[in-house]
Amino acid sequence: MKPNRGPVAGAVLNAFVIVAMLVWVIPTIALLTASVRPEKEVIATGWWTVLNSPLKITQHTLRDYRQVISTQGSGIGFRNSFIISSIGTILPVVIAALAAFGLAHLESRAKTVSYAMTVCLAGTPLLMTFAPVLRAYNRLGLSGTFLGLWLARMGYGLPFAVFMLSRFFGALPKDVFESSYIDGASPSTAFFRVALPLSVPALASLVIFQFLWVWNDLLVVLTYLGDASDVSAVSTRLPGLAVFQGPSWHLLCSAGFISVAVPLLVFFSLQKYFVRGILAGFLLE
Amino acid sequence: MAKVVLDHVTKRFGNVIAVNDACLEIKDKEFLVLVGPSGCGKSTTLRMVAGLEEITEGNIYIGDTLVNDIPPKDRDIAMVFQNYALYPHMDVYNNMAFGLKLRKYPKAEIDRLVKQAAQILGIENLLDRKPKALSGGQRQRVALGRAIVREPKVFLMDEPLSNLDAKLRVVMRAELSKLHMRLQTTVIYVTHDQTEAMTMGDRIVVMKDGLIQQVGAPLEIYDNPDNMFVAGFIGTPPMNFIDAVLVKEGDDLYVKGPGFKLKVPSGRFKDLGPYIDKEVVFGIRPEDIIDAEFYPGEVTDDNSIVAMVDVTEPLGSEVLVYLSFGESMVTAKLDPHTRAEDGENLKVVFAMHKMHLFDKDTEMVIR
Repeated sequence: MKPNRGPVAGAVLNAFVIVAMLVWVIPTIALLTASVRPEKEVIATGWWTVLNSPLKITQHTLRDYRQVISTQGSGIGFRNSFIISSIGTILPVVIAALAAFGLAHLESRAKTVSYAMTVCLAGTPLLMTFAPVLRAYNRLGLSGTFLGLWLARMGYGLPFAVFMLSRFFGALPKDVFESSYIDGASPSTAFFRVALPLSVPALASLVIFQFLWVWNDLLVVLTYLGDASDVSAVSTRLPGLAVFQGPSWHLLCSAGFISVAVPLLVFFSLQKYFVRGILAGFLLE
Repeated sequence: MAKVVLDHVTKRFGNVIAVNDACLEIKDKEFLVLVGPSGCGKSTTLRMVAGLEEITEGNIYIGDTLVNDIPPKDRDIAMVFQNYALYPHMDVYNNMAFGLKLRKYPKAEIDRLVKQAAQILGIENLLDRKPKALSGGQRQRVALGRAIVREPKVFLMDEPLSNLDAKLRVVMRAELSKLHMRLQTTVIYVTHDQTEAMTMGDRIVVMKDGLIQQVGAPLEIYDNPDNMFVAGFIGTPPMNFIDAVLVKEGDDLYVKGPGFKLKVPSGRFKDLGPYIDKEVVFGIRPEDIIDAEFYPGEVTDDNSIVAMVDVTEPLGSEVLVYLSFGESMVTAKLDPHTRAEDGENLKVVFAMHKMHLFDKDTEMVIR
């Protein structure tokens, strides 16, 4: 189904896409370039000066990366961020997939109510939840722990995830599941052997979304984990790099680029599913 | 191999009655066709037998087992869906093997059964393809293969041919009949297409608005429909219905209306006494209206009329002619060599020994 566009509309659309792409890509390139330039040059001249002699590899250095990872303790930050993000992504996606399958394909009286509640929760402002949840966490001893943060990330991530996946599962043909029941499948077999393999695109997009939210998040991490050095994440540490020992822009660039690179890696490894996934349930086959 | 019994089965969706007090016994090895317009409850009936819909009231037995509360997987049935419902992520082999794997058949046995089914259906060369890479007819065969590979007691088929093109449908129709003969399994087949019902069914169940209208062998239903709905639904083009009054002149009865007066053959009906001078519906099938020129018997004023030819549709083997006379319009299936021409008059004979009469109020047949 290719939309039928006139040549003018096509050109405008292409121009728009190119501009949008540049707006997003140039800062990333700038960050990358700046991160491999020696400290003095970063402070003295703009990143674009490398364009004067683009082939001169020797002007670049990976020294800042080494320093960021080893001496500044950012290594722990990256490790923490990775622990937080991976489990904070997998947990809600798995639970959302189970819930969404139930909502889409199982008979239950509570279905409509729980679906409506899920959609309502997706619209609850994050900030409103901080005070009550934090109080509860303090009492339960969950604040400042990874477990507390995973649970919080699950709470914040589930409504959208359930909504999106149930739309996707709902769009899968019902008779395929009925067929599997007749073939001898239980609901869980139908979920694992029919629904899951068919929903890789949707799951992949959800993983990307959730990973980006968790990885890039500062507010939730700061609220529930604080900035204690053993648990703090990259996002909490990055501002510290900029101010603690005087502004060390060169380190900030390297650390910043690593923190950008991780979500990019996740995105590129799953991107072939991405468009199919986000359109899931919103387009007819 | 088992009989299936529906004992006063009712299905309600909220306030809507989808199936109303259906009683039916499908014999062992029988090919039974449920036919009716969309929304008549035929698919719901099938789905209740499959266990995909719960029964509101009544009992369903497969063999001698009451299956009301038995889940689909334990009913020993297989179902072919209208949209084939193949598993998109599995190749043909695994589509067919899935049910056997879940039932923990040994690997070698699965292999043997799948290959055997594939051979019966002529899809051995497709076993490693995904459904996406198959044509409609091939998908249909895979769906059938998935059903027969388990050798179930009962096959349920929900409009399996309706997504195929006209030509392929005719081919598959014959193949399904052959397959049934070969496998000797009970088949319940749902369709809205009366041609499929007529050609494939050992018996036909005609449904409308959740109610079973008539059950019988195809020709039995065709020749002796119980009511106007069945008469109009089975047969193509459908039976002509003409409003008439039953009149008695001397010893003879006539159906009479504007532009026609036709004699009711004596002995065709048991007792028409109560209907004399009443309004009735006179039914006659298109093939029972014959061009007078080709009528082998005697053409009299009692069995023929002169009608205006509105449109002719030559089909080669026959000509469909739309005729009007008085206030009535009828369709006639005439000999291809008829001289009927649009806008001209034509004398046609009504084969009155094949006429039907219906009560105008109840729409039930008068016998």
